[in-house]
Amino acid sequence: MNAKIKLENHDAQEIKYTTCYMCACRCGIKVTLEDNKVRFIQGNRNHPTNQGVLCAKGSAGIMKQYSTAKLTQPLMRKPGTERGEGIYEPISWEQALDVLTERLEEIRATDPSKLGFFTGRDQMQALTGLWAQQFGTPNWSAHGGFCSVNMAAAGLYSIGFSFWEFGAPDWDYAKYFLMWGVAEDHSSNPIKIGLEKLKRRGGKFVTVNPVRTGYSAIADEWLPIKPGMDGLLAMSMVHVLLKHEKFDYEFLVRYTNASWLVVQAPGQKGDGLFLRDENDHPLIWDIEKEAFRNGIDGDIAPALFGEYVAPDGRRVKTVMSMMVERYLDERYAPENVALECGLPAEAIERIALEMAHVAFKETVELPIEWTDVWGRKHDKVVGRPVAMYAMRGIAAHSNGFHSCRAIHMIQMLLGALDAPGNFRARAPYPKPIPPHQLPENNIDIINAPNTPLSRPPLGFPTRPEDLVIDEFGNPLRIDKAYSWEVPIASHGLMHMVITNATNHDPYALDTLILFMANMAWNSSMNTANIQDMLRAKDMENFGEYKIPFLVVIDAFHSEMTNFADLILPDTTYLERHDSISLLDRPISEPDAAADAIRYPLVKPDRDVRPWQEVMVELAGRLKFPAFTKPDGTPRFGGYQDFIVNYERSPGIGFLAGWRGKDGTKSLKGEPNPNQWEKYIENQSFFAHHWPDNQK
Amino acid sequence: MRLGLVIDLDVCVGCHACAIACKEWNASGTIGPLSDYQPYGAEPSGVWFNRIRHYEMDEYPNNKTVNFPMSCMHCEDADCVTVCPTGASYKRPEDGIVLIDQDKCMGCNYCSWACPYGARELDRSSGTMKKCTLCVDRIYDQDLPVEERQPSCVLTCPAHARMFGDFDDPDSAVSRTVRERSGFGLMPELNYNPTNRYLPPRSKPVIPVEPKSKGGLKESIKQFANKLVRR
Repeated sequence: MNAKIKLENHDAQEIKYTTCYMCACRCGIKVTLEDNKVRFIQGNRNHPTNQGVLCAKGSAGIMKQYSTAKLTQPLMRKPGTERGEGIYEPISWEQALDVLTERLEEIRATDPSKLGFFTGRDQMQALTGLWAQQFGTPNWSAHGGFCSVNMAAAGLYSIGFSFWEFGAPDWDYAKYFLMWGVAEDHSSNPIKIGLEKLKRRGGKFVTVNPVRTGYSAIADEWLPIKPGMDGLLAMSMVHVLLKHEKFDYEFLVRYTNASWLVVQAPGQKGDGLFLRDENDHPLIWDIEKEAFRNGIDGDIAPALFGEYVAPDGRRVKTVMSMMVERYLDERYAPENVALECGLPAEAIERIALEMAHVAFKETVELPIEWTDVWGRKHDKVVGRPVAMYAMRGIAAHSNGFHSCRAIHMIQMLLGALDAPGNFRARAPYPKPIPPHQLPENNIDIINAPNTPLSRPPLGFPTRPEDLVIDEFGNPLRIDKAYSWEVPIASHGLMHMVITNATNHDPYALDTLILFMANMAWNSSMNTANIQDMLRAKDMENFGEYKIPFLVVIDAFHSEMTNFADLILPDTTYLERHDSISLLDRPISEPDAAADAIRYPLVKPDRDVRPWQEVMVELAGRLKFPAFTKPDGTPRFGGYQDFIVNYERSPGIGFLAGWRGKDGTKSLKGEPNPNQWEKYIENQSFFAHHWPDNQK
Repeated sequence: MRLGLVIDLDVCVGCHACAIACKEWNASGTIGPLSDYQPYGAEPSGVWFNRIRHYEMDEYPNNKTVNFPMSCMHCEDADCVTVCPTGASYKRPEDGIVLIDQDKCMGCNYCSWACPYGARELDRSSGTMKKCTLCVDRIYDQDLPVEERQPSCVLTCPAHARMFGDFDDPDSAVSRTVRERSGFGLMPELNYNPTNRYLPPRSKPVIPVEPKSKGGLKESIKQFANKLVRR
């Protein structure tokens, strides 16, 4: 029948499974190899993230692998040439690491903050963060401050998880889906899979986006918002829900702090803070007991509305009352925001009421027994099937934090959070609101030579005392994160690093390490100016560059590499080991905790090394405590050894699958020396499916 | 057999995954290559079997962006075959796939002028015409897992907007879907009798609303009464 059609010679081929790295979704891929070359990349059908499909970028991974822009060997800027000229001399890895070690040893022994270590859209922040913490510099972050931070911070400070990686719409039960500022990204394949599911089931898809491209093209209704006005639209929807009394009273009482009391004492200390008892517990007014009671407790009947006089005589009001006062104001009425939002008032009101209809009249109930946080058993799970999702259009605007909080407010009013049909958390989220992790701000520890930070460089401040500033209020971080200027900078501000370091504001760096971060582009999208800054010299310091030593680690040549003093060439994602860890940015789905690995599928044809391998090596050379044995020799034989044997706390390591000596334990267990092999056997990912009552 | 594709315009987000997967499979496949011109140069371009057209229709609020993937329709009455002066273009009787014998093709472009769907392109590297083969080197490959014996564009489509199957079989998934969703062929008036079918956008769901308040003034806060709800 097909005499003329020649088929592939599969005998010459090999199939391997790994994890995509063409964007941050981290889909499972099935790779066909032929003669140490990639023949075909397709989606892995068994993978929880992409379930067999693959986007255009994923398939284009083959073009990345064979890109002519790959860096091939370590390079040192030729003495006597200037930054940007791109004249380099090849050096050996040994020489390169010696130069770098000597420089870093000196910084670490004198003033550790003089090292800046900033990374791009990497997926190894658990390791890079640990490395920076062990070095003792607060000057570390990845690219989130330039990307999702508004949205991530809004979520983590409001609902304990967030859009993008920490939660996902429940595509199996959602009947209404409102998408804010998402074009065709974050996440790519899961949203495409989900939109088709939703539409097949007859659910309604509404998109809020200035342009109708990407996902918005297939929306049932398009709200062509004026850029930056999403928050106002969300607040107007809050107005509509309140005006028509469409809110989930029980949800607000049980699962939010809407009943907590807020001190009303304008101009006085404590104004706007929660009323708390002597044990620091927030208080509510119990309408049954007619008394102030602990708002954390389970056996309370709190007033959702009302104004009271606290035992100390101060006026207090419930959060809900304050919200109602603010958002019922005519300022937020649809007809009064229509012009600013560029939307018909009718549409704003109708969409809000449609969501209310679906939330309250088309409720999903699943017969799943579960136990709540107060230990009480329930015989069913109630889901308000209105799902939402937001990403860059919200996150990348200067008002994104509050816009995103307004979106979460709609979810809370509808009771449409972390339940069937709405927006569900992905392990290890939800976490406490905000997560219990504070950034290092002890100036003595930060300044101490050869001393790790006692806490990670990034975290979630809740009080002025948590800010990373000195006694005069000056920022301690080069990017000024957690200063009065940017107090809730959950991901750091890598886009400010080159500007601040060039201006020596708040201080000068000695060495700046950039890993897969084309900061000439990533810094304020101002390539030419950033390149000028990297060329800028300090006439007061013998004509040295204002950023004296710049190290660029990348697999590819970019607008940045020609400005480096030292270039360390990295491997591609198909040439190295990686772990996509639950300690970091995991690939969990709402129904399963999941993580994944990469391992080398093809041998590099160049003198390149995986940066993670180099980081572990440098950590040993610099004798970081977590990377050093008591006798002073390196504790880990390399990256793979580190991933298997490093434990953040006993039993908790980078990879959650096949733990325990014999590989039989999940999530927690002793290191398993054969863990990498188990992952490779299992198509490079691990998924722990939650029993129904833990979902 | 009459093999072909169904493309669901209700869910195609225009992401080009199909076009890239096609490129990837066929660039170094046994019946390729699907040539690239200067893939790493300043102006990369090349030959495609499948291109996604994007159209904007109507005015707000009825406007719509339509993503329209187009590849060879594997017509029953394919003029591209009839006009071919060398006999390189042929339609396989056993499954209806239209192919080009690369050894016979002289790259004269007649077929591309005859095709109203823009499905044929001249490969400047090989000097021959190229077109979608429905991944004929995948769909009959017994060494591939059964579920992967599909065109690469269908395998990869993240929105599951593409289906592959036999339109001669009334019980095939493609035949059933076309019946249920009123699938249509493009430009039937030209009488080429294309095999591929497109599914139109579904009708929009209608959701009732239940407004309550007629007022909505700030004073309505006074209407909010506490309910006895125990946590």
